[in-house]
Amino acid sequence: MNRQRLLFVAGLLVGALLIMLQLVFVVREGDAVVVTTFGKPVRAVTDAGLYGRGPWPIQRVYRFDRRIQNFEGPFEQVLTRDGKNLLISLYACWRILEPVSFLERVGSSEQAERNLEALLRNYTSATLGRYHFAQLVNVDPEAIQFDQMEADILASLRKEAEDRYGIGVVFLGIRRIGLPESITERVFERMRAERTELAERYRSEGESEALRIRAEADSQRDQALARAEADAKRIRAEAEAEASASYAVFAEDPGFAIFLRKLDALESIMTNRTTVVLGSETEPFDLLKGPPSTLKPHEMP
Amino acid sequence: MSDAPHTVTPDPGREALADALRVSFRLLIGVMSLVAAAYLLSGWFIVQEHQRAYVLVMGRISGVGAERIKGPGLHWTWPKPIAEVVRVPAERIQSIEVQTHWFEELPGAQWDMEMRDVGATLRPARDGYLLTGDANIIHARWGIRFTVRDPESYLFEMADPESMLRLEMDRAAARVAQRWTVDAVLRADIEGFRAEVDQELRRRLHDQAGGIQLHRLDLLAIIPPRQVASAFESVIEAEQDRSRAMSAARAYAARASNEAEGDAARTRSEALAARQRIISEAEADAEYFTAVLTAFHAHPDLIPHTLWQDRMRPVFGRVESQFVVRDRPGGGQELRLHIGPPPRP
Repeated sequence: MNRQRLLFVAGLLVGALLIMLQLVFVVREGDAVVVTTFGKPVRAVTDAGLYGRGPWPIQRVYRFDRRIQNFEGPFEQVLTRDGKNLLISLYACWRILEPVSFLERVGSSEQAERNLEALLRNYTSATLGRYHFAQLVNVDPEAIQFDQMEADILASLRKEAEDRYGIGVVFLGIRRIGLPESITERVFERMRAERTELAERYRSEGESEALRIRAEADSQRDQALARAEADAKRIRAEAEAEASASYAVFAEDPGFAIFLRKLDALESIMTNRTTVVLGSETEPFDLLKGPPSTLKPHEMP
Repeated sequence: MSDAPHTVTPDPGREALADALRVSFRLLIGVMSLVAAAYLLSGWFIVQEHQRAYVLVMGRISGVGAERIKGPGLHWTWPKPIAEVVRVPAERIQSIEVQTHWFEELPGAQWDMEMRDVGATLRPARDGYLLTGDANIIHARWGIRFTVRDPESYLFEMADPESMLRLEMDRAAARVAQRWTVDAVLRADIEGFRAEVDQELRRRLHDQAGGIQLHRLDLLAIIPPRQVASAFESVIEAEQDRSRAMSAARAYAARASNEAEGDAARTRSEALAARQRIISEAEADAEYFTAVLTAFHAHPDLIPHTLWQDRMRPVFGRVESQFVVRDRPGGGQELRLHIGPPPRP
């Protein structure tokens, strides 16, 4: 019975495989496994690979994710040392350090995060209560103690989580900082007031700056014109000096020269809209009184 | 099966059943072999060009050193459940958007509608924001582009590196914003703010597990809260007023300067012209004097009179109005000459 033997062998193989599966377990990369014998943890395996075990119900295998996991605390109100309310939330990244104590004291990731959250809330409010608001929010980087706060919380949290739960807190961070809802309205009022003030300052700055620019321009213009006037005066003086060289010739007969100058002056004065009052003896009006008595023929030499 | 000589009449039903069983058994064997072959062939797998892959045999990464990580191409390993293939998009730049510091946008609501409907406060649970160093509130939206620097750490050291990245992003923004002023963040130095957050995030990611490397951090939007947006706009308007007033003043200054230059140049050139005129007039006067002087020396009695009358004739010729003659004490008489049109009262 060839075929029956084949079927029998196949069935035997499948059965052996099923029994084998009860006697081995696989630890995947990144996982941790705790083996218990009648409920008592006997072995913790963190290296990946294939391992042997006793069959159920003698031995049981518990599997955990040994990779770093994130968890975020609530966005909660805390009080700073100077009595200011603020909202803060932190996150922590943790991993299983001691699989056996984790199994005994915690049991699951969800429970681990519940425990961590309680610790985190506790240490966050305790730590924030030691710092002033200005050490968290400040335009002066020297005053800010952000990293110090994180380090304080991490140190406390790390120690207790490891001692109590076999959990290693790898790092944590302050994720959000906010203000209670009612305070945001006051912040908006202040922001508006600041903006109004700033707008006023810009406007008045613009006006005063414009005035200054105009005044400076006026003064520069006046200076330039004054310089030009001075130049003009100097040029005229030079011209007068040069002209006076030409006038040296007048010294030949000063009396006649003065007469000629007077004549020029008189001519230029008596242009339009001038009223001149003269004596009747003024030439040629002397002729109004009759021909001159002194007129007589010139004796030719 | 059996060919016993006694069997005269073979049972046709029984034979048909035996045939059917035989055929179906062969069919079963065939299908089984196909399934077995397909199972063995399923060990072949393809790694795409942007991917890297690890093969876990019995849960452990197979290979040593550089062989641990499988590059693009066709590979073979044991079929499941003996082996497992895990892929990482290691060469691809991945991007995510972070809205932690943004307010809650109602689906389908227009920006203008929201401006009107916006409440007086920010609800901590829904509206995200950043607090600046001068205790002002701003909203920001970020885009992160990252690559997987260390695939092994990305896969096996951290459960959810991407959500860790989001948390770290929030932390970096909060940490940097707390020492910046609202004016610097919103206007004066947006890029400086972005660069500082970028640097902070990069530093933290580099120090930590997860194997993520920041490629580039983008500040997609940064705005003041909608509740005070109009106040911020009025500052911008005031700044524009300021620059307008200043540029008007500068234009005035430029015009004044040009005019002054023109006026000064004109004054100078007039002076130069006057100089020329004065000098040539003096020369002409001197020449005239020399010429007339000779005549005067020849006829000292006649020349002054002639000259005087020559000059005065055109002047008296311009007399338009009456001249009045009247007696004056001392025997003389007085003449009044109005030259040109009479003076206006």
